[in-house]
Amino acid sequence: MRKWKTILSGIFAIAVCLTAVPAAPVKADYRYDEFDEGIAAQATHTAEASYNGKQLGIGDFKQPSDFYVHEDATIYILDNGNNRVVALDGDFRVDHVIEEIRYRQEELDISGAKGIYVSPAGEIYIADTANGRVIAMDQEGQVERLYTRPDSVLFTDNVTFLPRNVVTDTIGTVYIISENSTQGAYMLSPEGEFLGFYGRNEVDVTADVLFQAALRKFASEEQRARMSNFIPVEFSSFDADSEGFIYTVTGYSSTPKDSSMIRKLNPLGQNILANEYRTWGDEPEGSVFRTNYVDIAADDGGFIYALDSYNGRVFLYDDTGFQISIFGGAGSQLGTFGTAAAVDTMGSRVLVLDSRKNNLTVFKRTSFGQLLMDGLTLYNQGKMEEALPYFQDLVKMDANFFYAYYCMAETYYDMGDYRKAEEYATLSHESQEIYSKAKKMLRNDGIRNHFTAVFLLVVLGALGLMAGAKVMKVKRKERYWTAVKNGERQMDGFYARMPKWKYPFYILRHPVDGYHELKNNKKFSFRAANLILTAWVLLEILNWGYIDFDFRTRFQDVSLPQVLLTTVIIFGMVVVANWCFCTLMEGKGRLPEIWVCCAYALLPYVVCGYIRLALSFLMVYDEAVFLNYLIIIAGVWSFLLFLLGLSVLHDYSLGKTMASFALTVFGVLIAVFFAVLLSGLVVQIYSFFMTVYSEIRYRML
Amino acid sequence: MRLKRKKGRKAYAWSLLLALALPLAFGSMPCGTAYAEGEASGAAGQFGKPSDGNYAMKVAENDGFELMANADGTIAVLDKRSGHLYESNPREEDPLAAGINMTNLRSQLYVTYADTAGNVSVKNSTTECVNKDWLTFTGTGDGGIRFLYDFQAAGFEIPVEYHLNDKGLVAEIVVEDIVEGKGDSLFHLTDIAFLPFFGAAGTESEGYILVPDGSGALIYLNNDKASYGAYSQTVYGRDLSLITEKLSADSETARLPVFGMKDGSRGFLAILSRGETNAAVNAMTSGTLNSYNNVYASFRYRPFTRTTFLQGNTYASNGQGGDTVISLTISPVTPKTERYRVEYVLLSEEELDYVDMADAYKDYLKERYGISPEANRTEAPFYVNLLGGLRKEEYILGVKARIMEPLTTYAQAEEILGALEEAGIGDMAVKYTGWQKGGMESRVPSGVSYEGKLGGKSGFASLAEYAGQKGIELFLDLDFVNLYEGGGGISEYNDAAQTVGSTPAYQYTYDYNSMGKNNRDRWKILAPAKIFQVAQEVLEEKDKFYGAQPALSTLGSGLYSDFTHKENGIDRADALGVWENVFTAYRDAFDYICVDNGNAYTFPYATHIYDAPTGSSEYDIEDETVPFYQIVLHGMVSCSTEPLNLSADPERLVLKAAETGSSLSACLMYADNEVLSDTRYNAIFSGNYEAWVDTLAGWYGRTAELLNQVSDAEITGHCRLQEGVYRTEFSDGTVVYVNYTEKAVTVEGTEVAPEDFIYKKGGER
Repeated sequence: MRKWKTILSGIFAIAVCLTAVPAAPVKADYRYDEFDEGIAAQATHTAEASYNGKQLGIGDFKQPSDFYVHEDATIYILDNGNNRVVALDGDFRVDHVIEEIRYRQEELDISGAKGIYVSPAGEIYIADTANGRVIAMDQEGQVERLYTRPDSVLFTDNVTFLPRNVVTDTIGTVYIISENSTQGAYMLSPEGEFLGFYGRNEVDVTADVLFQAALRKFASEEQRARMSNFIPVEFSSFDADSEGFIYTVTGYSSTPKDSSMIRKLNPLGQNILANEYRTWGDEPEGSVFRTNYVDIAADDGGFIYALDSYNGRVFLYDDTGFQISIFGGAGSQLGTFGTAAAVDTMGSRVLVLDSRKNNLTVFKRTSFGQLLMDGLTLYNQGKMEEALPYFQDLVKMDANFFYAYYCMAETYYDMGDYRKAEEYATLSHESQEIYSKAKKMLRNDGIRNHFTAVFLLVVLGALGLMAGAKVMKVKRKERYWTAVKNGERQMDGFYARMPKWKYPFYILRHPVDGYHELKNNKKFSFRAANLILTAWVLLEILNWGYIDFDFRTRFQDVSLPQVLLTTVIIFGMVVVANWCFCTLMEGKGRLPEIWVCCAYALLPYVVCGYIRLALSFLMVYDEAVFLNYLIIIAGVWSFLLFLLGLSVLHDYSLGKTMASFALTVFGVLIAVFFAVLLSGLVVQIYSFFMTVYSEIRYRML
Repeated sequence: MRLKRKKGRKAYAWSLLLALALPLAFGSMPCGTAYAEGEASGAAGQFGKPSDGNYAMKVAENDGFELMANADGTIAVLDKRSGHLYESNPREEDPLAAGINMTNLRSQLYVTYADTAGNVSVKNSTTECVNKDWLTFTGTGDGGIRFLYDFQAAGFEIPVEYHLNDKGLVAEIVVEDIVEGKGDSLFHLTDIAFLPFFGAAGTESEGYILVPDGSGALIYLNNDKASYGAYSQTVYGRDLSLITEKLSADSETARLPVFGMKDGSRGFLAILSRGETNAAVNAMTSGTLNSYNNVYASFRYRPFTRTTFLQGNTYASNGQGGDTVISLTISPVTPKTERYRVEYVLLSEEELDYVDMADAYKDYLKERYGISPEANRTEAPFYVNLLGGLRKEEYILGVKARIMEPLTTYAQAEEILGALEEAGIGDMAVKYTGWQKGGMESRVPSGVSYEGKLGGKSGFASLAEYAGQKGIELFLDLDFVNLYEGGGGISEYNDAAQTVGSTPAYQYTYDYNSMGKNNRDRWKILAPAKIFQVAQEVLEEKDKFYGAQPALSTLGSGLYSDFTHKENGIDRADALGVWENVFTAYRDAFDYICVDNGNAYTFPYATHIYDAPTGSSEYDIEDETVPFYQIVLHGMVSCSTEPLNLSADPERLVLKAAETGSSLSACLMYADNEVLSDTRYNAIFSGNYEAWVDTLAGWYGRTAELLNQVSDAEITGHCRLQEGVYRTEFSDGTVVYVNYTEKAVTVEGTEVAPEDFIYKKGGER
C-alpha cells in the first residue's frame, strides 16, 4: 500500500512539475547566456530621437543608403535617392547640403551610390556603385579625383568593378569593396594605382569541402560544372578605426559558427578576432540562421557595432569579440527599424540609418552601458584590479551579465583570492579553467599548511584500514570454526563458505573460476546485480551534476530518464540481444543468468567511477589524465569480465564468444533502429489524431 | 430575437408605419446630394429646418448644440457657442483620394467581415448602403435619429443612433439590434469602424490628434508621417484569451478609452463610454490615402483567431513539413453589449490643448462614477513591490521537483523596509507579491494562507504590525487571473478560460530572438465567470489580512473573454462586469485598493496605481508623448512610475515623476540577483535591495518635497516649452520646470540645470 502511495505521489509530483510558469515582461534588449539562450539584458543603449528630412527642414530623404560620422562630429548622409549629400552638425542640425556634384562642369549622378566616407582631411569619397567608380570630392561638391576600374593584368574583362564601400587609411591608401568581388578589398594608391587585394575571406575547410574537393578529381567536366563552387564570401561592409584596424562584415553566412563573419584586420590583413569557437549574430532558430549583417562600425574604445537588417538589431561586441548586448528590432516605434541600412558611432552615441523609414535614429548610452563599457575597457587593457569595482556594480544592476563573473573570477585569481575565484567561476558556468587553477592553488596552500596532519592522516588511515580488515578476517574465521565446533554448521568447501554477495568481488580477481562456480552452483544474486546497476545509474547522475565543477562536461539539469536511457536500458538491450543470439547458437546461458553476469562485469567500471568522482574534488583538471587512464583500465577490465563471463555461461570457445558478441552489438543496433522507427511512427500517429481531433473540434462543435 | 430575424425588415417597417402613421417613402434619395426644400415628405418631415444649408434636417437642438443630418447618413453638430461645425464627413472633393478612399471619406461605417475559410473583406457604408439605397432612417422619439445601414450583400443590418447631450454628440451603434446572417449569408461580422472622419482636419489645419497610447501621445496634424503607417491600438490591451503567436517589440498599452483632436480652436474629446472593452482607437494623418487627419474608434464585434491546419505529411525532420491551410475561427459568443457608445465632448476654446481634453474626461469620470479628489492624503508614498517566494524547478539526483525559494521572507521584508526608512524614505506603499502559500506561482487564491518558508502566519502578523506602527500601507497581491495549477476548488481543466476554438487560452513566454512563443512554457488563465467566486472566498477570510490591504494587480492591468461554447462563455464587456463586481466588493470591505498599470475601469475603485504608464510606445507616426493619464488622475488616485531599479534610464524616470507628480517605485527582494536568472522572471535582473537602498533614498529625497507639496493638487497646465523642457502647473499654484536635455536652459526667467528640475511653490513667483 505504502509503495503505491509513493508511486502515486511521484506521478503527482511529475504532473505538477509539468505545469508552466508566468511571463516576465518581454524587453527588447537581450543577450545570449552561456547556454546560447536569449536572456533579458539591462539596456546599454536607448533610443533618444529620430530625425527625418522633413524635420530637418530639407525635404524627405529618399532611400538613403549610407552615412559617415567624421571625427569633427559632422554627419554626412548619402541621400542618393535625391542625388545629394547632407551634412549635419553634432546637434543634428543641417550644416550644409551638397546638391550638385560637379566634375569638370559636368554634373554627376550618384543615385546608384551605396557608400560614403570622409577622410580626416574632409575629403568626401562616394562609392558610386551603379556607375562603377569612386568619387573623391571637396565639401562644395567639386570632384577632385575619380577612381574607376583599375587596369591591371590581374583582371580579365569579365571582372566587374562595382564599388560599394570605401575607406582610406592614415597614409591615404584607398580601400574599395566591390560587389561580387571575393578577392577582398581593392587597394589603390591615392593616385589610383592598383596596389593589390586586402583581407580576403578564407574558405572554411570543412569535411564537406574536402569531400567535394576529392570528388572533383574523379568527376567529369560536366559534373564538375554542376558542383557547387567554394569561393570565399564577399564582404558587405567595412569600417576603419583610429588605430588603423579595419573591420569587415559579411552578410548571410552558411553557419553562425563562421568565425569570419566579423573580422578585425591588422595592417597585414590578418584577422585578430580569429577564434573558431566564436559565434556571431543571433542563434539559429532550428536550422534557420537569420542574421544578415549589412554594416559595421567600431568606436574609439574598440567596441564593435554590427547591424543586422533582417531583424533590425544592433549587436554590440567588445574589442575581443565578446557579445555584450543586442538592441533595436523591427517595428514602427522609436528605436526599431524598417530596413536598417547603416550604422556608425558619434562619441558615445550610436546612429542607425533606416532606408525605408528614411530617417536617422540616435541611441544614447545608458549609465549601465557606460559602466559596462568602461569596465570592459579597463579589463581588456589588463587593468584587472581597477576593473573589479565596475564588475561588482554591474552584476548588481544586471545579474544576467555572466561574463562579469568570468572576469571577476579571473581577477580574483590574479589577486590571489582563490576562494572568491572559485565562487565566481562557478557562477559564470564558463570558467572551468580558472576554477581548476584556483582549486590547485588552494590545494597546494592546504597541503603546505597542514602537511604533517594530512600526511599522518593518510598514513594512519591506510594502516587502520588494513588492520581493521585483518581483524575482521580473523574474527570471521574464529566465528566459523566455533560454529563448526559447536556443530551449528557443517564444514564445507571454499565456495560454499562464500556468501552470494561476495561473488562479484571474487570474480574481479578470479573471473573464470568465479563464473564457473556461479553457474554450477547457481549462486546468482539478483540483489547484488541490481545493486551494481543502481550504483551505476547513481554514478552517472553524480558525474553529470555533482562532480566537481572543473570536471563537469554537461551543464544542463540532470534528467533521470536520460540517464536511464544511456545506462539500464542499453544494458537491458545488450542482455536481451545476447540471449536471443546465444540461444540460437546453442548457448547454455539463461536470460536471468546473463543479466547477473553482465551486471557483475560492470563492477570494476563502477568502482573506478566512484574513485574518480571522489578524486575530482582533490585533483585539478590538468591531472585528469591519470583519472581517465583509471577509467580506461577499468573499462577494459569490465569488458574482459563480460567476455569471460559469457563464454563460461554459454560454454563457448573464445572465438564463438567474440562472434556472439559481434551479433549482440548487431542486435542492439537493430533494436535501436526499430525503436527510432517506432517512436517516429508513434509521433506521426499522435499528430494525426491530434489534427483530426482539433479539426473536429473546430468544425463540429 | 435572433429567430425573429427571418421575417426581415418588413415587419419592422410595418410596425413603424403603424406607430408613426407615416409613409416609408424615403430611402430612395440619391447619394451625396443635399435635400432640397420641401422635398421628401417622409420621415424627414418630422425634423425641422437646420441652420446649415448643407443639411436637410434639424434633428435636435439644445442650449449649446444643434444636430443636423442628411438622408445619406452624414450628420453635423453646430456648436452654437463658437459657431464651429463638426461634421461626420468632409464635404469637399479630395483630389488625393481615389477609388475606395473616395467613398471612405463619405462613409460613417466600415465593416469587416469574414467567412470561415479565412477570406476577410472590408466594405464601407457608402458603396454598400447609400449607393444601393439600402439606408433608412427614422426618429428615435427622444430627440435623436436612427439610421439603419443594411449591408444586404454581406447580410448585416447595423442600426446607428445620434443624440445630443449638454457636452456635445452621443453616437451609438445599437449592438442589440444588429442582424447578422440575413438571407443565408455565411459571413460573420468582425469589426465596425465608426464615424471614421468625424471632425477630420484638412491640410490647412493646425493642431494635433490625441491618442491614448500609454500615458498619451500627440500626432501633429499634417505631420507628413503618413508613410509610417496608421496608429491603431486596442483599448485595455490585447484580450489574453486570444493567443499571440509572435510578439511585437515592447510597447505601451492604451489604458484610457479616449481620443481627441485639436484643430485650431475647434476640438473634441471622444470618450468610449459603452463597449470600450471591444474597441480600438485608430488615427491617420493626411498625405497618402486622402488629405485628412482623422481619429476614430472601431469595435470588434466577433473576435477571431487564425488557425493553421497541417495537411499531408505532418512529420518532417524540421518539424514544419507538410502543407498548411489557414482557417479563420470566429468567436461563437454573441456579444451581450447593448450599445457601442462614443460621446464626443465638443470643445471650443481659444487656447485649446490636451489639458482641456483631460479636464473634459475628468468631468466625465466625476459625473459618471462620482470620483472625487483623493481625500486625507498629504504625502506621496514611495512604492515598493516586494517579491515573496517562487517555486523553482530543480533536479534532485535527476528527479525534477519544484522547491520553494524564498526571495523575501516576512522577516526580511521588515528588514528591507527598515533599511529604506533608515535611509530616509519616510512614507511607503508596499505591494507584496508572492506572499501566499506557493509564492508567485501559487494556485489561484481562494482564501488566505501564508507560506511556511516565508515565516508563516505569525511571521506575517509581525510584519503587518510593523507596517502598522510605521504607517506603511501594506498591500497583499491577489492574482486571480493566472492559473498555474488547480486546487482550492479550482479545476485546471474545467475552470480555465478558453480561446476561440475551444482550447485553453494558454499564456506563453516568448523567445527573445525570434519573438515567437515558447510552446513548452505555458500556463492557463482562470475563466472570468469564476473570478468573482474566488474573490469572494478570499474576502471571507478578511480577518487573516491583519490590517493589510488588497492589491488586485492583474485585474487592473488585463481584461479577457472566455470563448467557451458552454453557456458561460462571455466577452470582454461581460468580463468587465465581473471585474467591477470584484472591485466594488473589495472597495466596500477595505480602505485602499492597489492595482497594476491601471486601466480606466479601475479609476472608480483604485486608490493606488503601481507602475502607471509614464511614457508612450513612441510610434513613428507620433510626435510627442504627453502625461495625459497623470493630468486626468493626479489628485484623485495616487500613481507610481515603473520600478526605477529595473529601468534602463532611472534618472529620466525621476524627472518624469517630477513632471507628472507621480510617486517613485522599486521592485525589490532580499535574495541575490542570480536567483532569478534561470527562471521566467529573469527580466528582474537587479532586484536585490542592498545595492539600491541609498540610490533610491537619494532619488526619493530629490523629489519628496515637491511630490508631497502637490500630492493633493490637480494638474491645471502642462506644456512643452522647448525640445526636452516641460512645464507643469498644479492647482495649488506650484509650477515645475523639467529639463531632460544635457544642457542648462533658461525658461521663463528660471535657469534649469541639465537633467534636472526646479519648482516654485504656489504664491511664489
